[in-house]
Amino acid sequence: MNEVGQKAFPKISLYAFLTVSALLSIFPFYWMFVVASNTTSAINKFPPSILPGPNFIANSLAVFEEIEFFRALFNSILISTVVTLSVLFFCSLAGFAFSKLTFKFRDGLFIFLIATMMIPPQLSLIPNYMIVSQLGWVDTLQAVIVPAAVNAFGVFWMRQYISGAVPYELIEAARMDGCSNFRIYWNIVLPAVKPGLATLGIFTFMGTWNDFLWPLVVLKDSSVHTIQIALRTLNDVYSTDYSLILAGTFLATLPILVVFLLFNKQFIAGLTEGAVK
Amino acid sequence: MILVQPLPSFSLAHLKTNKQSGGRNVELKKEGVEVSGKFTKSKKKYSTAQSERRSGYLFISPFFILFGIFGVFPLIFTAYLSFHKWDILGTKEFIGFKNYVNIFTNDPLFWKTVGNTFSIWIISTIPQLIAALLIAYFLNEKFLKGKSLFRLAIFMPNVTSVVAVALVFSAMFGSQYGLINYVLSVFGIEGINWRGSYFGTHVAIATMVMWRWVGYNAIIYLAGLQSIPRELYEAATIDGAGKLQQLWYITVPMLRPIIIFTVIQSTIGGMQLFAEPMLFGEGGQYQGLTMTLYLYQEAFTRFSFGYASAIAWVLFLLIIIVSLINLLITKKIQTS
Amino acid sequence: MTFGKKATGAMASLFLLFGLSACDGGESGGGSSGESGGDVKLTMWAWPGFGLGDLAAEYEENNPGVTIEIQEADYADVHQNLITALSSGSGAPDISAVDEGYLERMKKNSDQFHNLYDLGAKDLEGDYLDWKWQQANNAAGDFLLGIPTDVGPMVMAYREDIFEKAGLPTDPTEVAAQIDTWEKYIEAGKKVKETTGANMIGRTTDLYQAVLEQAQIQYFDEEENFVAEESEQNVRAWELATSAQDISSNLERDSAEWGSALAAGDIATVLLPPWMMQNIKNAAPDTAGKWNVTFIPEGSGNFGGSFLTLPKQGKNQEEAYDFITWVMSPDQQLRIWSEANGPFPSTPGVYEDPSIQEYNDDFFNNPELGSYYAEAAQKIVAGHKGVMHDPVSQLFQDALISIEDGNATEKEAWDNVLTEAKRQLDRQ
Repeated sequence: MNEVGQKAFPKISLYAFLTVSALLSIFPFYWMFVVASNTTSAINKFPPSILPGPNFIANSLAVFEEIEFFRALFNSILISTVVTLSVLFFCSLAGFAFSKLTFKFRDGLFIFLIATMMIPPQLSLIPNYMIVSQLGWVDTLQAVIVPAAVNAFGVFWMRQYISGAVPYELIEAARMDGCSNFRIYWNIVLPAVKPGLATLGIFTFMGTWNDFLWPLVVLKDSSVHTIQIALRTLNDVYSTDYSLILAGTFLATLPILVVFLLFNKQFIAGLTEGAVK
Repeated sequence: MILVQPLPSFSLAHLKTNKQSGGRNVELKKEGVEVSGKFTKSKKKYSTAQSERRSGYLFISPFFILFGIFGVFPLIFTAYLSFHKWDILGTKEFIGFKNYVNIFTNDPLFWKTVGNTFSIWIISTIPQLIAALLIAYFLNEKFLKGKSLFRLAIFMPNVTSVVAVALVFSAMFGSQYGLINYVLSVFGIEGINWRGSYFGTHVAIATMVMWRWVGYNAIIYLAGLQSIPRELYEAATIDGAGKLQQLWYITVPMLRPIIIFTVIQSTIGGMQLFAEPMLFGEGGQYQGLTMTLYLYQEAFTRFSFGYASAIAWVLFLLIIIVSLINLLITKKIQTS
Repeated sequence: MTFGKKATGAMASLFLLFGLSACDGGESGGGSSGESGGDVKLTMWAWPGFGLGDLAAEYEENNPGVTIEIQEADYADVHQNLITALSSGSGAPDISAVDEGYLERMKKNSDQFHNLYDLGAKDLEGDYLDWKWQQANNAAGDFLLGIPTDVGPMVMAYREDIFEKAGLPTDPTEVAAQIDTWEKYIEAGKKVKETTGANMIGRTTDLYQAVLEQAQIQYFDEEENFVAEESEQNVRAWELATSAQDISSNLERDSAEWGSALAAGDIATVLLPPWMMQNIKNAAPDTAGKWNVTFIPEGSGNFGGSFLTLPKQGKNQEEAYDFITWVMSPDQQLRIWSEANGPFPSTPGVYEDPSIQEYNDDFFNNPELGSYYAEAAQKIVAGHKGVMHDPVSQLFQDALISIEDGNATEKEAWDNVLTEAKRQLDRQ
């Protein structure tokens, strides 16, 4: 259409927009480090300090003293990894079935699945605790892992992603070759939806990592504490030491960043290869 | 101007009719089989249908088994409780529909929380999804340098734990000693009463929500963009379509299933908004009190468990209605 | 297909991990009160700040065969977990701390707890502050829910420099003599505001709570009738608080902004239970030495404090009882205070001890700080509270905030709060 319109959309403004978005996104994270590396009193000054201070290591050591940081970290890594792998597998499998297979009540079941996402979670705490304690799972890691092994959100996401990213032609072709449905899922669908899987993976890992509402009801013994529960015990009822808490929180964030970078490779892979080519 | 038809995609009303693939005439190579043109499934053999049925039920069964264990009982239990008066430790007293009657006739505070929730949801969701789409679209640009860095940056809000977010934001949105009002005062602008007014509190909470979820949705959109063939954009560029036209005529229709996903999800998330208002504070007029926060307080600080259960069911139905309306609107926008 | 291989590996490790975690669970699970060969393991739920760690270790040493596992969680989490466990019939520990804010709710369901009188607690009554002991009793006085831990007697911390500028006395005795009623407190506050610009108090709700706590009848009478509308103390607290709007900063206690205001010297007094001393020190370390401490007007008041209870789901009540009565005995409470930097004892017998009488803190500039707390603790009148005391109190405080925010008139706020309180009580 008009060449001028195209030129009026210069790269520089795009970079500017993205840079501003990036800075806004990072700022609270940066400030978290500022607080974590100062003393609590330094942030209560007015105007507050905006540069990192010298106390990060001291605050971190204090965190290690107060809570069993590394044990909790290990529990969190274990729980999040298992949940993520399980969610990736079961949700993509169900998503494939909902988008590409035909069976009776499929649409009804799918709508039902979406409706289950709309149940307010707060009131499920007590009935679910009853179930878990009947199973004898209180203070065990499977109390957190098993209920999270597959979720409606993940199925919904994979269903949407697969329906957009995998054309029927591919499925039909494979079927003509005599592939079983599982083979189709494993050999055709999974490779085609890597970016979708990477997205689900990182968000599941992160969601599990950050969750505390349910874990704190079922994990009371400090040997099974996740990192979020352990960090909450830094919350002295009488006085809140923000520097200490944020130092712990900052450290607890680093593993998720590592995981993100791992999955990030998958995003890039998806980008350069193209999903269906 | 080129015309692009939407991909086979999800819509609740047309689940079954979307079988035929749209005009996506890309050459496909897979496993040595060369496929081109269109296929229809009409000549499917009976045995295929049977195996699809068997696999279908098998593949979706993990979710439904787990839901059967951890999802159904709470629903039934909550429904049962909603007809009782129960302080959680004592005995349950059956009171029929009284809890529901109370919600609809004698609980203005609940309806205030409904208003708050909708207000915060609207001012946070719409800009959030638009910004996310734009960011994802730009991040998908071929020429862009430092993609990984930008992607990591917009992902950061997701990893900043809610508690930390609340601390940071409450320091920013202080009425008297807050950072934002301080900056405003440098420019000689009068500060905003973030904590004591409807406007201030809603904007502050919505900003927190937006800040946390824009990057999330952008990454979701970005994943969706990966499945749109570059050829479409190339063809459009040859046809002389500008960037924004490409966004509207190619990206949005092709992203349809993903957009529907984000709309439903942010509707549910918005209706169940809990963490941010709890950490920011509800305010003296309860201007920051949301529906689920109210439900939680009714259950765990006032111990009216029966009443809280009734609220939970009203909420559940309300969210279903709102999600349906949203779905219809989304469909309208995208098919018009 | 590399992806397939990777995924297969991943699935294999998934099942491996499932197995692994199941083993982990097996070992640590079911340990809540395992008893084998005479060995007893006591589990205890508490939130951080009780200062019991060293004492528990010492108790284990002196009582071979008894191990004590203190499971700490956030204050609100402990109570929520306890309620969840009690209502679902399993999972409660042998010992749980219960804050006074949740005490009435637990008392109403006392069948879930051991009656400590059955275990011999009657003999201990004289060791504890009478009002505190009564709090843990049922109405008939024949059921004791918990052994008292700490108390929160309130004193008034004030900025000497600000008082001096405002022409007020700075010596604690003189301040207490001059500001001996709440009306005079507000009067002094107006002087402070006029001459220095600083506010007298963080928020009117702080004043409201302190005044309310000074009488026996607050919102509910002995027959559990809701009397907030007539209750003299509530009406008085409300009127005093609304008349203090001009001398209040309208900032939530312990919020980030409250800290900033303290650091900037914008708040002249803080009504201060012992446990809040640390908050001020954290929030405004640069104000060290500028504060002094005296009595609050019209006696004293309590803010905070807890009890150790024995839920019936626990299996080792005898051993648990022995531990809690030892660890909360006067001698140990004194050690918690003096050695573990813990909360203030509820046992008046130790108040004459030098470690309390001579307790002071450079930050507060008062060499007799400890004796002020000891005296304040003994002047406390125990308020009669119903199960809904805290939610109702929250409603009144929110109403006061809405007045301070300029969103409601006093009359509107008062009418609204009464209507809403009655609504919530009806649902109980």
